[in-house]
Amino acid sequence: MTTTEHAEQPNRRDFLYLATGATAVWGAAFLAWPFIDQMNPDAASLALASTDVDLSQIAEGQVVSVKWRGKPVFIWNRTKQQIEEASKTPLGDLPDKNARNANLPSDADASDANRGAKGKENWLIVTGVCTHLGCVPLANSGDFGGWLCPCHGSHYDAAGRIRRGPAPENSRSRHTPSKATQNQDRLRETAAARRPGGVNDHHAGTFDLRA
Amino acid sequence: MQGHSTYEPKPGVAKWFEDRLPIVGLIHSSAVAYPVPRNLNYLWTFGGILTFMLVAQILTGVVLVMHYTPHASLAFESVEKIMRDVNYGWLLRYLHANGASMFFIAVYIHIFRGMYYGSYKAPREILWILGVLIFLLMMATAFMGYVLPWGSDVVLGRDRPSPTCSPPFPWSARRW
Repeated sequence: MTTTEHAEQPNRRDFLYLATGATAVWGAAFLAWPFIDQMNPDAASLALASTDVDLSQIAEGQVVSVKWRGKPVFIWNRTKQQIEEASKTPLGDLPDKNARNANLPSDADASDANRGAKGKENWLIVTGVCTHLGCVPLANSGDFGGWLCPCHGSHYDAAGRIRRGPAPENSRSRHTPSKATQNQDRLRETAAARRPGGVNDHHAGTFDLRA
Repeated sequence: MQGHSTYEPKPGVAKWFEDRLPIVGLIHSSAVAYPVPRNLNYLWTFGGILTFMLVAQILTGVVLVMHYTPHASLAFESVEKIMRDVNYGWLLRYLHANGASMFFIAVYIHIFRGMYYGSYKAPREILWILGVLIFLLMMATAFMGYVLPWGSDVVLGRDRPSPTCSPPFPWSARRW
């Protein structure tokens, strides 16, 4: 009896098995994808998740509050003085040194530049929910030129950062540096709903600034 | 096929089960050990095709119904929402609706195979009768599903089919 080789050359049958199997796997994946994707937020929910805000109506120095996905968002057209004041604050004075800006790495520091968008430093856009227990802070109040939360006395500064009080974190910055070069004074707030946070995670949305 | 199956389970659990309810042996002898008759042709594949279609209709149907609203004033809109908003909703709906048509094409071919080759004859009478029952269930299910979008034809009580769904014969069209 002749010895059988352990390592035979792959023959046509092996190739056909492999090719058929691979095609079947790809076919199954393509077939399965719509059944999985239909569970993702549909176009109607995504539409509900974005708001257009006309920025040209916000005067310099004015702060407005806009409702987005059920929560208030503060949009502040800061004056140069207010920007300077916020930039000059040493990081050591801040209880929370994290930028809390979804567009930056999670360890970015809370300098004023990191709280906004490059080239648009006058715009400060933050979620208007106190990071302590969720009240809505009052604008143009408090000791630091920003907001004061009336519930438990948290003071936020001109870059929306917590300075004094029980709130543990800076308010969430919501800027997205806009890639658009259109000259539209509009701010489109979109929910990046497909990001891991999901539709119900209010931290997962970002804004497109087109100004 | 006659007599006991030749299924011999090796693991103890399987043997214990087989002694008490010989269902696995039944399936094995009918679908695994049964040799394919020499005189079959491709018309015999339609039973398997129908099984596949049933699974496909169930999968697409269950997914669709999760987006559907079963209320007279909201049903139509929910179907529109499936078509426009739900990711791949249009694909799921068309798969299901056209899948039903394919289901029926396959069942007619399957029935005509049975009638032509005498598949209903002894000892397969019960099998044939079960098939007739399945056919009746199919018709009832298809009608129910067709009506679900609650389009204006149904709502306004026009029980004659509209030109989009009836066979294209001159007498099918509405005459008012």
